[in-house]
Amino acid sequence: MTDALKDRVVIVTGATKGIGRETARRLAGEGAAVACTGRDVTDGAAVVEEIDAQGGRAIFVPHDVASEADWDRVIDRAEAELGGVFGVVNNAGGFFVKPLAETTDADFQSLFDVNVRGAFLGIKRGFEAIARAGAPGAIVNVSSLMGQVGFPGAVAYCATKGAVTGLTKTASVEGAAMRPRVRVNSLHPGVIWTPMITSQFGDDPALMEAFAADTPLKKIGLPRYMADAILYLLSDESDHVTGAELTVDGGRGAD
Amino acid sequence: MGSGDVIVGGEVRTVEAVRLALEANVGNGGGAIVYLAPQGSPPGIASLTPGRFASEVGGGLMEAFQNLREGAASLRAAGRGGSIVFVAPPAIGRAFDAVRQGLRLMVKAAALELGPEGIRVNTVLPGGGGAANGRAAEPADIAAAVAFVASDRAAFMTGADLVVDGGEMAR
Repeated sequence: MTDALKDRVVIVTGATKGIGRETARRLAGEGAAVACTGRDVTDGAAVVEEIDAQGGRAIFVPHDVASEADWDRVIDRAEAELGGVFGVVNNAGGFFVKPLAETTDADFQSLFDVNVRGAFLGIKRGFEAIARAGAPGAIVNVSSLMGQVGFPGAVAYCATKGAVTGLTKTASVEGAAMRPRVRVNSLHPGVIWTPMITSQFGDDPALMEAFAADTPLKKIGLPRYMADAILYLLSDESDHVTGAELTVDGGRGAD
Repeated sequence: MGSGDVIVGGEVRTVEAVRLALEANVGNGGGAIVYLAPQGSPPGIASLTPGRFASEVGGGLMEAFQNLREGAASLRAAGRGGSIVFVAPPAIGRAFDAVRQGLRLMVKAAALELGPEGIRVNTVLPGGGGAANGRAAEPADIAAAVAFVASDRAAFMTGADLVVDGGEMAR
């Protein structure tokens, strides 16, 4: 631990599970005060306990990222209980597998609400909060390898993650012109072994091995790899990095 | 090649960057960091001769290929995985940018081939001076990116690009 984010306030959405949970712990380990948000109150309390136990600082705020009223509460509580906001990690997201022909308007709309409106509101509210804090800030949007390439059975997911890639580009250019400035980058994970994957495909070790075998580096993606990448994109090490698409996928997208 | 060994290819443009990257340690398997020289500024396509194109673009890619081949052979012989990071020439918005783009794709091919041996190959892409954030890249910016990509913090990253350009390419 290097205190790379000492006393900086970071909001991590979808921090109750998977990539978000690991990221919240990692950032707290680097000295950040983390506002963990999500829909699962029990898991939310557990994350805060974990961070407390490692000597870090965190709060949990219940959050539906598609709700403007919820964003109001998240920002208010982060500012009141932790301090001026430095960063936002727009990590919360949904995923389902369904062929295009079977994907309904309702399926598409509900995924769009979480994955795209959620990220949009997070960037917008993040910009406002960082401006109020009066110091440079950083936003990381968790897109996907599927925001860069197509994947059969994931038409809605690919569309939403492609939208997050585009949101990031525009926000990065606007953020670069702000004073204090805000950096905005997207992270593009490959297959990462989290509840998002296991809820769709089953929590099966044989499947995990199959995913690993199908990845050029011959290993399964783990949340900690994503936490490392997000930490890099938030820290001063990446001070000149904005509008970038960082793909961390074990080489899957190189094919 | 031992742990932390570094090959510097081409014209060394950012000595400071190499030093900083070394201080931050290359990942456990050791590896190579290859800086490619900036391209000269070519005339427009109409007056660019095939000979000059071949020497600049062919030469730039050949240098990358030779470093890739040598780096991969050393890492393979050591048998502990590792990382090769290329720093592409800065973008100039002219025909010689073919080196950057050719390098990106060669790196992807190399990543697929070397991945099963635990050897990661990635590209850092500096901007060309048109940053959206109102400042030019410093050697330390590039070095920090190289240090991240080379380290075990990027253990699942291969065949990828890291753009370090202050938002230049986002617009």
